[in-house]
Amino acid sequence: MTKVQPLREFIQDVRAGNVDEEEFLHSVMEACSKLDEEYEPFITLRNVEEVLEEGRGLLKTKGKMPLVPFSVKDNICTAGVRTTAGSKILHDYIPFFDATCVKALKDEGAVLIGKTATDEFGFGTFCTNCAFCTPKNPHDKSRVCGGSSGGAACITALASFPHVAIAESTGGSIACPASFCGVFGFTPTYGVVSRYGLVDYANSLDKIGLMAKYIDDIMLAFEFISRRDERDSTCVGLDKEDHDITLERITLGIPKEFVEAVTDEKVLKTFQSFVKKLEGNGVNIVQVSIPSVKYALAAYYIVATAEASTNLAKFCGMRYGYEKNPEGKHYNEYFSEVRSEGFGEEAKRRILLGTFARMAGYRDAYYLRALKVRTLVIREFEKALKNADFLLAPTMPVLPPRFEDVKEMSPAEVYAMDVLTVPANFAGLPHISLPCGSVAGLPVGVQLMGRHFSDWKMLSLAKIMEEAELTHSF
Amino acid sequence: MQLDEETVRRVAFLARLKLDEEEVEKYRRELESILESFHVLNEAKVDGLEPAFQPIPVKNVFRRDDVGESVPQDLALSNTKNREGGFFKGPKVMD
Repeated sequence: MTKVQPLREFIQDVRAGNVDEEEFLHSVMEACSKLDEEYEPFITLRNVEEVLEEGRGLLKTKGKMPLVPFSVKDNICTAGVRTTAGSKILHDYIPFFDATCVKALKDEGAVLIGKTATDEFGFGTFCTNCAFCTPKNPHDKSRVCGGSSGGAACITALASFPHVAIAESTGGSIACPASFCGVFGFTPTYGVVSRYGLVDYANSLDKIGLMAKYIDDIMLAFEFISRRDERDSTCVGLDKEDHDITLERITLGIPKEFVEAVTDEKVLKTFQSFVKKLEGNGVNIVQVSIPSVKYALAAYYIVATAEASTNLAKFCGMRYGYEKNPEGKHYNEYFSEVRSEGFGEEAKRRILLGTFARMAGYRDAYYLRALKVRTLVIREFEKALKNADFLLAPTMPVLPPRFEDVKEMSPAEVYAMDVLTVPANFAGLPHISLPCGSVAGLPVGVQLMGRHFSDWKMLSLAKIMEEAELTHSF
Repeated sequence: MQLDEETVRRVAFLARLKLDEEEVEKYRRELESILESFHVLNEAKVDGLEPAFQPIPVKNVFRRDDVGESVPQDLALSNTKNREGGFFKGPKVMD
């Protein structure tokens, strides 16, 4: 694909007066609109006039990201721009405030171009559960982009202009599509980026993160969105750190349970040859073990759906979103009617599952047990990371599947696709998916996983790998 | 585990979802197979472990107790047709 200018180079150009703001934004929006027709990465692409209006004067901004186009996953609120979370139940919702992360980039002079496709409320692994559009894989249109941040990965891979995407992950929604579309996808430590303005899926799991074509683009934007926020009681923020990394001094642990879970031989081979390349560059590779990985998937789905079923209780046809005339109706009848018509199939499935897991008589066996398993998973990760700086594993067990194959999968089979992305997400650990190679033109991704709050060191390592051309560029 | 239709109907009522007979059977079948795949959890040795409600230790985030700006009423009401006299309009809560 086209070689795109890294953000810092573009910003230098802007500062030097080499960019005509109107012409630039015009060409960006035109490119987006063409791509949207063919690949459908956007639920809402912004109106050109609005974007131009916002861009006016940004050449003189003191902000550190002047005129940088950014997209936002559509489950994150944007003032004056429709925010649907991919659901019919929010089809016409227009927030009157920006999420903290959106405001942070706008304050630096970045320009919002549109809202990217997501599975309804983030419920999906392929971005095929969106009520408005279905993004197509940039490397093969008959295949999925991965989910749930499928639109973000799609436009990041396709953009012929400087761009950074704000995405979000609950159980793998950044790493999976980043891997399937061949871009960098970074999920910070839980609690580092404010969730204020996020349409919650599962509060103890949701993490806002970033996707880009270059690691440095992610580092640039991460600095501004990783600040403490009094509006999110779980947000602790993270100060920027500089790390001097040499590959020869890095030890990476490969958890054998992850490797064993890879079902596609070609993915495994691509991963193994990437590991060889790392070793050839002096990286020390050790085998580690996280036995509780086999419980993580089930425990994750119980916690995630339990939290989702309470979060989604607020959508009831009052105050905002899909609504009907409530007059003369009893509230049980009205709420049930609106919710049954407004939620899609997967949303209903997860609400039912989560409600069940929290019900008297089942709560201890499912929900509480799952939370104890989380303690176990976190401990085992900590133990494995005593012998390694970071862990390394394939991001997805398969290549991006075809739309027709996805249709044949049962819900339990779809959930099982998250087996490699769920553990780090469940434990709240920072992780980043890097493109490491390709099989017949289709991207394969690997993920680095680190200790809580090792985000900057992990990004620095990823950057070194990118600079040494160990990662694959499409 | 076996999941019967009655349980699915009960869960659907608690979640305020209206399901027709076909959906009840469909979700019963699917949930049963999902719960089946969750059985592996019973093998996990978690005795004596505390449940992790959050993945990291979370401390309270405090702010000063100052009067700030509130959402103007017209904005708060801007996302619904069901409003009257500056209020949200909802369904009946008492018979």
